[in-house]
Amino acid sequence: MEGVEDKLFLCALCPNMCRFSCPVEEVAGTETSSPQGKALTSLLLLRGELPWTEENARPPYLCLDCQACKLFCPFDFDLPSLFHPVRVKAASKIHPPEVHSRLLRMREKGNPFGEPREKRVVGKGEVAYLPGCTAEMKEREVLLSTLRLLEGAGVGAVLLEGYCCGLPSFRAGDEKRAEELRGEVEGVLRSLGVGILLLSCPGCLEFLSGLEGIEVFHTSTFFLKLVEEGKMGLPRLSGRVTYHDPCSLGRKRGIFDPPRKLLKELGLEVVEPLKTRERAVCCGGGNPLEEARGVSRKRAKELAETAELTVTTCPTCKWALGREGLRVLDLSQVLEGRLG
Amino acid sequence: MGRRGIRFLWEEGGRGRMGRLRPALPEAFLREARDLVGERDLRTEEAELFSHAKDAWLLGGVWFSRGKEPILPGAVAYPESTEEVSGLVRLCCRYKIPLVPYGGGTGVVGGALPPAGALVVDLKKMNRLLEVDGENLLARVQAGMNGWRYEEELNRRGYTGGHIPQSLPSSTVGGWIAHRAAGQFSTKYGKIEDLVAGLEAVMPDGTVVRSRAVPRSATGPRLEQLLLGSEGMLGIITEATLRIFPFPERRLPLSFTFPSLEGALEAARRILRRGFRPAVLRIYDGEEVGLHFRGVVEEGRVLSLFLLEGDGKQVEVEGEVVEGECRSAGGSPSGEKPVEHWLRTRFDVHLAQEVIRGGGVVDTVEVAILWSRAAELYRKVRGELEGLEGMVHVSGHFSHFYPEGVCLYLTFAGFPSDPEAFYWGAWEKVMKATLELGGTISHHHGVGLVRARWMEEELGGFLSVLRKIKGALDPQNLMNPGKAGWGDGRGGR
Repeated sequence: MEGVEDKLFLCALCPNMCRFSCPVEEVAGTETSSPQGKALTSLLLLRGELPWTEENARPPYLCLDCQACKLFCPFDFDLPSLFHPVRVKAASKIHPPEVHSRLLRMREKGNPFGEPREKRVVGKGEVAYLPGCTAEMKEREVLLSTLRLLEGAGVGAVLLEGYCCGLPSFRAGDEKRAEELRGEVEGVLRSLGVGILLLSCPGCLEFLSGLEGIEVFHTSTFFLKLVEEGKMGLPRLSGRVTYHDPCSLGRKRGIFDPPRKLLKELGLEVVEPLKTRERAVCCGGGNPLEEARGVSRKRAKELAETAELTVTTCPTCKWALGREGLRVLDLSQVLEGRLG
Repeated sequence: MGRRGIRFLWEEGGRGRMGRLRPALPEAFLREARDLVGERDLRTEEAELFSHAKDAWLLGGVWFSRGKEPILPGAVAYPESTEEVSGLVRLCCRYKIPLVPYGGGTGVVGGALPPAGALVVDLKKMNRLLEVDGENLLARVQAGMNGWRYEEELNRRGYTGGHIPQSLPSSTVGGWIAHRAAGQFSTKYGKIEDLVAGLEAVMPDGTVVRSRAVPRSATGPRLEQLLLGSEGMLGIITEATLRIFPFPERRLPLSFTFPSLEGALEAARRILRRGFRPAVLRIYDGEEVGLHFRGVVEEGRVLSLFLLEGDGKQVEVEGEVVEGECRSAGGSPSGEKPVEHWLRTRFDVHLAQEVIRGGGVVDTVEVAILWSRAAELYRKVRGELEGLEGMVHVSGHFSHFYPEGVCLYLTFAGFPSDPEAFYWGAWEKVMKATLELGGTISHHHGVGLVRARWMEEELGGFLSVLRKIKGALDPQNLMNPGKAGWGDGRGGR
């Protein structure tokens, strides 16, 4: 904790040299939504120098965990990890109402949408496929396309439904629930004895990487591998699309080129949005706060101005941007030949 | 510090008792303010108040590191239109509540520190680029727009604003104007006063005034110039029409090292005298070369760094002139690398925070001086600063060049036994030496709380004129009271 406070102190003293890069600050326009404002508030909360109220506990949650600020940080800090201990405290004390809903849904239903679902393990194969909550519950086409593509390439896959990686709980500050959920995923993988875990969601990838003895893939890199090995054929398409980099795939893991390579292999022209690759703006979809909706709206508008169709590689990005009226498809759908 | 009855500064206090330093605003005032800007844009939670109880003044950082509590404002308002700003100002007049405009909070002289119980008017929700007029090379922009985003928007359209201060990632257009800022490229493009073609502002009585954006005008004194450098004391800037420039066709980075500071200054003086205007020209002393260019530039040498940009032909000729003058003044070419290094690291500000975290005191001071006294001033202040108890680092660079003189930018850091005495002692040395040699005590950071005590010596009779203007426009002294040495100090709470 001392290391965290020390870093938060340095951040709180910085003249906000990353302010311009923060998508929440841009739409919220408040001082406490700026990276430095969030750090200062977090530091004071940790030190017990600010009263714990819903309003004072809001700034640490006004971070989308997108790491856009890291590129410009004079200290090379990872701010989301510095806000995390404050969120852990807030989760057990007091927090914004939207966070309260998220925590309850995750505790009661095991998914961020708070809808009931059953755990199911379907099929047999050497690969376990975990679509993640959004693909399973809101963007089911992503799940179905992925299964068809795997089948077409002759890859045997076990589908894990009803499982959550735990990241939504973790980001809300509920470490205990996050560990429970992650443990459930690990448990089912161990019981199946599979060595490969395939994921549609970059958030799951962020949270489940590092499981001992299990190789974890995102569908974009896995499909590219299948294409390069000659196991997966591609349809011929034409047209212009833009590509939205999910934070957890692009900026956080450096996976920028595989999706683009596949789109170009399909015969599509890829037009880059104004803010792309390392500077791509978060979709806002992973954060429950009202301000995050503003980020989604702004990003959707920017993408709509770039091309008639956006392709992405994250079900949550697809859901959040689609909710704002954007024509958006997941790469798996496009690999099946769909453009609308 | 401050004036009669106005409390700004941080006070010794127990952790977690900030409410003690938070005078409550009248409930009726808060209700009316909420009606005006909306529930969401009138904030009274401690996190928001604390975030506006500071700016980037490094002494504030020293106090914070030593557990002092800041004086909190009473509320923060986020207006979304000029009309709302005007309404807030009228409201403050009726209730006699002091009011402080706030942009990016990147000022380094305490100019945005609110008096106890003030209303802070944060302009960051007025953040739109309203119009880019390529034919007339003008951009109309709201005061709360972030500098980096403004420049990015212009670049996207094929222009540059030409105003690139180190605070660009965080500062706002309104802040630049209120503090009479100058960016790193000012030698070519001009300072903010050269870039402002027109303004919209809310005066201390709530009246909205607008000036036309014209090439120039002889219709009496240009009163909008009063707002440049007014630091929130004569009104709130809500919108500006700024001059813009075609994005440079060509960029040429050049650098030279010199055995002495005098050689580097002489080359720069001749280049300016011949009518050339490098976009960036920076002369670093040996200490700053050691600090910022280790492994890039030979230690112990003085570095002159140039970035020439603009029309291709113009840049070519300028490059020849720069090279010729630097060589004839004893300079040796040191290539593009130092410039590339500077471009990569120019927004890297971590050192000051590290010093404060380590228990030290650090600050920067920029002044402006005529060529004939530039080297003398540098040597005098360096010598005097180095003599202070606890001083561990003194360095300087020259930036922002004019045919008649230059800006000297000093950095000092120390681990003294008495931080406060050390801090003000260092400032006293620089201010006194600058005034004695006929310079100005601020080139671009402004006055705020830090320089207030030396304003009389610098301005002489003009100070009473400024005070009369302030008194006439703001008779209740509610607009950012007690700052810059020319608020009359009757306001505050």
